[in-house]
Amino acid sequence: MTITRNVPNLWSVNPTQIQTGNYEVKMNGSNFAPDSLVTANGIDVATTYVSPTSLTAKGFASVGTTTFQVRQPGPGAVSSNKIYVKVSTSIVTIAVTPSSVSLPLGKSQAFAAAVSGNSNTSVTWAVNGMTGGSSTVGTISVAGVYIAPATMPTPNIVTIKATSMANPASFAQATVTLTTPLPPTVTVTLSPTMSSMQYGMTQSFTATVANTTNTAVKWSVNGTLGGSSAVGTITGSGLYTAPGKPTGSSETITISASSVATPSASGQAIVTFTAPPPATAWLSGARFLEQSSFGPTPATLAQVKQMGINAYLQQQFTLPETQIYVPTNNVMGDLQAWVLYNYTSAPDQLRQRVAYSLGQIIVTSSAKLIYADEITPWMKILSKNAFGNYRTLLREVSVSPSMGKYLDLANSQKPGLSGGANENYARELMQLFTIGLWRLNQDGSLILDPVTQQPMPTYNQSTVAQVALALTGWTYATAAGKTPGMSNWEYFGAPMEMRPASHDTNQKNILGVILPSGQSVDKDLDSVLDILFNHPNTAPFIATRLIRSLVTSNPSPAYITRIANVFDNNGSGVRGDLKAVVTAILLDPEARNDSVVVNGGRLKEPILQISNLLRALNGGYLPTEQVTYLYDSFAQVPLGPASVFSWFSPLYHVPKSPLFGPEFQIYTPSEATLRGNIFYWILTQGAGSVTKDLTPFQQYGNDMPGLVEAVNQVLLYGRMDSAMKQIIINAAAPGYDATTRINTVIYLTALSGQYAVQY
Amino acid sequence: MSSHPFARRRFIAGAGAAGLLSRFGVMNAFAQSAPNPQPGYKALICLFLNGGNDGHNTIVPMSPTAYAAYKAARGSISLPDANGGLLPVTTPDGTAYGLNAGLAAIQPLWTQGKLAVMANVGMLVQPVTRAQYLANAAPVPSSLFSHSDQQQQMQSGIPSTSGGTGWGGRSADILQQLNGTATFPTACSISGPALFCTGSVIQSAALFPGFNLDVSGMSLWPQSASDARKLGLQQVIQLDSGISLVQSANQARKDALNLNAMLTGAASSIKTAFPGTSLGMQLKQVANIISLRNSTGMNRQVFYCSIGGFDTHSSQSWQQFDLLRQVGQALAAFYQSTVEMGVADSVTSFTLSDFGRTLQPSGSGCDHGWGNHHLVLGGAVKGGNIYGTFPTLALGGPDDSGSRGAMIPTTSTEQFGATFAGWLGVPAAQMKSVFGNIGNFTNPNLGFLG
Repeated sequence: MTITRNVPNLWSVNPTQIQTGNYEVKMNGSNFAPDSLVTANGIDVATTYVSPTSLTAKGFASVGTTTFQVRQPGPGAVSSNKIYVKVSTSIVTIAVTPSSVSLPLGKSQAFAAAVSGNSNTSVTWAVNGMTGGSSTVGTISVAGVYIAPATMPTPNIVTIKATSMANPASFAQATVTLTTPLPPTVTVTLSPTMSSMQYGMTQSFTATVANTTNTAVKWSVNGTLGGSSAVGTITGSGLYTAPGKPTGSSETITISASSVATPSASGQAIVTFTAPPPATAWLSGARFLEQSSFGPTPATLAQVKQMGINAYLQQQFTLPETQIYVPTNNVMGDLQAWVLYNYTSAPDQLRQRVAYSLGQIIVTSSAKLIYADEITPWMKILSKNAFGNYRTLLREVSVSPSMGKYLDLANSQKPGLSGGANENYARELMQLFTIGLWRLNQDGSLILDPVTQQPMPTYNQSTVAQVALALTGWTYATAAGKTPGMSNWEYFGAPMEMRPASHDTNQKNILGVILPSGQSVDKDLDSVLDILFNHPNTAPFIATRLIRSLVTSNPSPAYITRIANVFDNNGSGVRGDLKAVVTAILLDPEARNDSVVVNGGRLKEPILQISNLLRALNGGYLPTEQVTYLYDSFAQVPLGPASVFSWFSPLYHVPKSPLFGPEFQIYTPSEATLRGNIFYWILTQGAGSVTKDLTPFQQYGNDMPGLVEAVNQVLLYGRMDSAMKQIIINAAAPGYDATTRINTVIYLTALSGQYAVQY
Repeated sequence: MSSHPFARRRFIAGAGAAGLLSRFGVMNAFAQSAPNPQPGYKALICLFLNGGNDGHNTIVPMSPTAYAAYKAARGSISLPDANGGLLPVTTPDGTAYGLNAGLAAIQPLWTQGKLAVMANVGMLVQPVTRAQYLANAAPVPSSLFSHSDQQQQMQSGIPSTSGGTGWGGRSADILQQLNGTATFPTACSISGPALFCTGSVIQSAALFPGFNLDVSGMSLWPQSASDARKLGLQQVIQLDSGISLVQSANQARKDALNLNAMLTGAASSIKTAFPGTSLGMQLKQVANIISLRNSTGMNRQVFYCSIGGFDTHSSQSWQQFDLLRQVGQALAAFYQSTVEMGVADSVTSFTLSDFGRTLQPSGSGCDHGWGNHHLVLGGAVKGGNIYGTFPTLALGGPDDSGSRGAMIPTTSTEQFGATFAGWLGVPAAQMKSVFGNIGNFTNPNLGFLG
């Protein structure tokens, strides 16, 4: 019997190429039998029968070509056809992207072929099997850019094929579904599409309108045509102006331009607002401004930084004097309100600060001078002479109607007339305005009696009486239209007038100096002033007070000596030159030492600390402010100290401490609390009375360290230590919103002892 | 400037009321164990009647001759009139006087011997007679009859406007050593900053009735934000800056938080009802602080209260009646509260004013005068009596400084003050540092305090 076996057919080997080494391939064909064997290069390899059409084979291949065949063993052995499979050390694979795309006729689409497994990554591109395509099915460049045909082919789907040049057996395909193009769409695009802007700044936007000849657009901000003051405004040509200040609602807005031709077509741009970051404070400049003004502002800090302290100081000396406001109806309250406004707003800050300090040495008060015009002459004299000579200041203030009324020199007459010589002015002129109660060394310390070791009085009651007699004979000026009298009624329009008939012309003995009998009213006054002005006590006495008021409560004896020496002689032989004294005080190494000194600095009094805060926040009092009355509870009524000793004594000591701290006399628990409460009122209310700008702090959002650092720079000039920063970060972080957090950080910083003291 | 009461209580609880109070508690223990030359508690309350109370119509002599003279001199403004009458009081020697009917609330305290009158007291440099005054032959205080000057002088106790301190404050300068290391202010004004309480050493503390030193901005939503801000404040002022004045400034805020806790806690402890007037509220605040004496550790305290409106140039009758009624009601409640607290014998109140007024009327009022009558009230007062010399009520009479009945004081404000200061414990040797001219007068103790 003849056994005839069916001849196996080998259709394909999968994969079509194999890598060197062990392989497993699949044989596809027909007439396979369970005993079929696969041969590779004529040698049987391990074969697994799967089905009549499928076998798998495992073997080992070397570089070159492996010939696969399937045979049916005998009897009746037969063999299939052969299939040659390339064996290489690596296999080339290709991927084409995009793998599927829809494309309008005439449009182009770039394809990319990723070839791996061979260093030759070049491919050939074909469309529907035609390399480079054709005008019918579309063309494809060697770089893979397919351009759809102008007319629709049939079918409307074409195949893009990339074939490896290294191994033409490796290829990948993508399909393109060709579509009929829509009519062109009108589009509007804006440039720039995003912008970060500071409040109040402008930015120009350009709208490009495509696919229509009408390129006109309408601009809107947050959907409002032309914008609004709250979100910013935009012109017809796309010039956008950001709002001056945050509205609180959002920190970003959307600019939109819509096509006039096709209103549904619009383009958008997003604007994010930023506040200008607070400049890093320059500690030296900030300290200087705390001493020489009512506190640094962003502008004065920048100015001092740019000019330097010396040049800034010289500029301050040359600025025109701010004119004192004349309230309608002569209302003192209006003048007091203006004074606070002036402290925060006057450009001639140094003059204002020095006049304010001199006004605490040579005192009058609204407590007695209850109408504005009564105290204005005194204010003008202090302002005018702030950089002048102390002797001139003494002369002008002595005969001013303000002082004449306040300390009763007006109508003080020689004994035998009226009430006799009034001793009030004589006493204060010596005790408070010139030489003080006790004899002083040049460094401000007390001269002790060598025998008793007790302080030595500068003068006694007899001196007071003698000075009082010398100063008799002054009355108020004669008002226009009035008849001059021996004792004129109060008049504040001019300096006091002399009345020789009421002047005591006897000889006087003042501190050992004889004023001969028969001297005139003004000659006796000038003699008294010369004696006091030239007294050795006056230089250290005034130097100490001005240093305490401007720089530090506890100056070193050497510092006092240096300033007293300048008072004695400005370098050109002139005594009492206040400009030289102020310059020396502010430029002294002890004032300009920026490092921490344990017993340095001075407590800020209410007027200074509140002005400091307002100015630091780039604000101030309004001339119409309604809060002057609060200073009553701070014990510092502007222009209105309770007595000739001013609001606090320059000799006051910090409670239970050896240190001087004049301002502590009015920093009791109630006053400290009330002062803190006005800080909070300034932060959260204050409208109509004060201005402030908190926008520099609004950029920080939840960035508590950033916010605390910004406040540190503005209020403490960078001196907040890490412990305090962490406390304030912890305190502010739970705040409900940015405003609350900002308030907490500024409030707690302002309440700190570090901010209460100028150091 | 007040926060929500519940939030405030939470603040105190959150801050640890015990912690806040412990500092004072410790001091209290210290004060009690320290040597104390005058143990026990004493407080002095100055009640200033701003504007110049008319003493002539506060107490009126009722013996027939004196009353006739009064009636003749005062004319249109003599009492009794349609608005108010006179309440009968009698001195131990049987002399009859009439108390302004506005003072009805304290009239019983005269009878009980708790209320006295200091007659014709005022600023003097030294004793001065009418003849000396008219001849400019003796020094007198400067700027007599001027409100601002005389308010200042009555408070400073210095017969010129040279005073930068008050006699209450200068007394406190000396008395504060009896308070050991307790830090509650020794001299405390309850109506804003007052010269009377200003010393050279002590701080001149000012409190305001109804203001318990509440810190603004401490009520926030959510509660966690509130708590964090309060804690932050307490922590910030606890930091050691290494700078003396910064530490002292922080101490003022620490003291303020302590006071806030104490004052808030004290408000309800006194049962005596006070009138709802400004003065009533001021004296209630004084009573509150006195009630804290064991926790503050204070042994000596000086207080200042004030009421204005006494410058009665016209319409005096009903105005003065109404003002004195406020004074009488507030003082009566205050005295009752000291009884309630068991310190009636340790607390003395008195009035001061700019000056007296002229005996002679000007229309429906009268003008600025000089000497004046003042009230003294308390358990330590030898009351039911008039001290000093009651002036002769005659225009151009022996006590008149001129022709209108501006009386030359026969007792100095400094003697009046020295009597209180001595009672509080200012040693006689130091009296001259408080009252510079006390040596010009023979008697530094007027004897009305036991």
